[in-house]
Amino acid sequence: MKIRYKIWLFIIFIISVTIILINVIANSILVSSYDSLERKNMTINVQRFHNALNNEINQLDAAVGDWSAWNDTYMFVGGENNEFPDNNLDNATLTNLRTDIMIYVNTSGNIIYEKGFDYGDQKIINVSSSLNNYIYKDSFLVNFVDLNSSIKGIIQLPEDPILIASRPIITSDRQGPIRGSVIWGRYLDSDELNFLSTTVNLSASITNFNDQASAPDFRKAALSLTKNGGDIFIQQLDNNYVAGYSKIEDIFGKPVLLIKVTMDRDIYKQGILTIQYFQSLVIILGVILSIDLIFFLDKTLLSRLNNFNKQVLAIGKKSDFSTRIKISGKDELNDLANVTNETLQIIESLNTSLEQKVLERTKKIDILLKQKDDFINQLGHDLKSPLTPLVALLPLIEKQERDPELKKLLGVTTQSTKILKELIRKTLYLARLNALSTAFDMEDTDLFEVSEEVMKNIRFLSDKHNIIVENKIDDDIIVKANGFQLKEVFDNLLTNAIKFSPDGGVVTINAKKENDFIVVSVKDMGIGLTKEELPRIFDEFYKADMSRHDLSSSGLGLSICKRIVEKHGGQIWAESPGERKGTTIYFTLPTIAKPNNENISGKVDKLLKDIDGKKVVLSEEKNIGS
Amino acid sequence: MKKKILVVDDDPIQRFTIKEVLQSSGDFQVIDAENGQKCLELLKNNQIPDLILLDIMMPQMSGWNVFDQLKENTLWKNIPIIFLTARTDETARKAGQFLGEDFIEKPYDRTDLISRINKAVAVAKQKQSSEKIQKQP
Repeated sequence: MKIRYKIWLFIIFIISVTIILINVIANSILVSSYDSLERKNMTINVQRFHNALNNEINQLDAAVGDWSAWNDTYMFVGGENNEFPDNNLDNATLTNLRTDIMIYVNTSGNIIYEKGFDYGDQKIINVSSSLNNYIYKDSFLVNFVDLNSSIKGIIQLPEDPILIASRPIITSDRQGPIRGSVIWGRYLDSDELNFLSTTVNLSASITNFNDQASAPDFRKAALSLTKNGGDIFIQQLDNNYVAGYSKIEDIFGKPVLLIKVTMDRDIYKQGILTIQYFQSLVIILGVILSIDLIFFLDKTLLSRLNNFNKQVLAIGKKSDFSTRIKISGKDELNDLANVTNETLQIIESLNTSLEQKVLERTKKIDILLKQKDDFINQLGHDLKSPLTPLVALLPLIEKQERDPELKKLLGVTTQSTKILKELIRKTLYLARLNALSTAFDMEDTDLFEVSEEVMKNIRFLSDKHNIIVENKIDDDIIVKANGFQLKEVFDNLLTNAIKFSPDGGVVTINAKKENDFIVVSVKDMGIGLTKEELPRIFDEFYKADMSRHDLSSSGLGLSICKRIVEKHGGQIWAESPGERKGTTIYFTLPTIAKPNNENISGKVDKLLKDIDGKKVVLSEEKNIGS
Repeated sequence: MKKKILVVDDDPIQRFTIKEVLQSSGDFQVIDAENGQKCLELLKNNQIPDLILLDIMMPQMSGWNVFDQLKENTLWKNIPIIFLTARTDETARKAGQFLGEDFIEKPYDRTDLISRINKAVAVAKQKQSSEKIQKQP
């Protein structure tokens, strides 16, 4: 994986982990604090409802206080002021006082007057008989001793719970004796609940504390309050609402009612929203930070590193050590580029000096090779002059000699001289091929024509050994070649093929086109070659059969062929299935002229190869000839 | 009539060989010079040959120098020349061809030498006679 992607992945991973961690921490801390804030708020609200309820009871008690310590009431219960109910206790007054039940009782527990009026619905109702059960002589609602005492609280009636206040009836200036008691009641019904809800601005509902049939949340709250104690039980109803529960005790201190105050979870929801905003902010910041980091790293490091890499690769690819790496900025990367450049400098100078050395060595080798060729040339020419009388005069003597014995000896001598002459000719020819790098005049040459001409010239040889030479070359093949040199190649190859073929054998020459080359083959059915011999037969003075003292073979023919073919830009090689299985010599010739542009390394390679193969040739030289 | 051949070569063995080879055929009368000066002296003494066999590599005066002097002289410039040399360099060959003269490489073949001489003499004679015809009218 590229460093760039690794860093990207790393940054994205780190930022993601950070975001997740921040969010988890924010969630656990903030949510719980919002939760406790909500609970606190809920507790206060339940308390407020309680206070409002107590306030109602106190207010009812205060009103009862006003009406019980009043001469009109005192007289009415004493049996004097009989118009009192008609004058004072009309429906409007009850509505105004928000009182559903009014009971006036004397000390004996006898009800003097009672009235039921649902001030909410504005209709007369019966005074509950179950309430009447509390009205008797010694009832806590009736029997007062202290003038200023009062009884107030909630009584659970079968129909509805009721707020009750009772006070002794005394005179307006608060004198006894007590003539009875005033008992007022206000039903804690839906109207009252609405009133309370409006007062504290909270939605509230109420149920019987011990009612097993109430809603599950009530049951859960009642159970928790009974079991764990405490005044308030809070539970979340759903995401939008939370409810606080509290028991309400009746006048006897018994829990009879369970109120439920429901509240919108504004705080909690706002909190959650805040967390969400915060989380979004963290994510956005994270993304921005990631992008910035990636951009920054890319700009300062990665793209430069990439650039560095590309430059180094390009140098490696082209092997151009003169190139220097350019990296902007001044930091470690730049230092690295400088170090690399220094290394390149060293490589370059090493390379240059190495090339210089190779050139020097090549020059030396060239000189040595030239000296060798010069020597061969000199020797060859020096041999020629003394050979001239032998070549010219020996046949003359042989011809004139009458003694058959002497004539025979002279014949052998003449033959040897001829071979010697040919050997010198070939040696010099090869030396010239090597030394002059002769730029032959390459012309469009008809391959078939040339081969036919050579076949004609060596007909005497093939006929002598009864060998058939088959020419399968098409008559429309044109090669870029020097006709004279090409004839020399054919002459050498055919002479060899005939020489190594058994009498009556067949020698086949053929040619086929391959790309820009013509591949010519000369095939014989002769002695063949071993694998070891195959590459060596083109070496100078190599003879296929060393044990055969074949005076007529110079061992130079194939070397000459190789040089000529190479000078044409072609190649020459031999193939043989094995000894006594015949040999085929192949060589290639271009169909289009090829400029001779071997580079230095190629030249050196060739030199080394040639030296290694103990075949020393001068590969390349300026055109001295022409 | 025997053809008169002048051999110019510093090597007596070479001169001897050519003499033997040519005289053995019976068609040639051979005279020789051991260097360029001797050659020019012979010519001045009215010994005009039918052909000159000229060695190139000679001390003091090379075959080229002799050739140049021959060509400068109106009497001698039409004498056919065959160069004789052991040098087979392209340079020598091309120079020979350029100068319009034949060229024979040592060691030469006896029959080859004779046929080349005959040919060169015949060409030169033909040339001379055609020039005469042109001059007459």
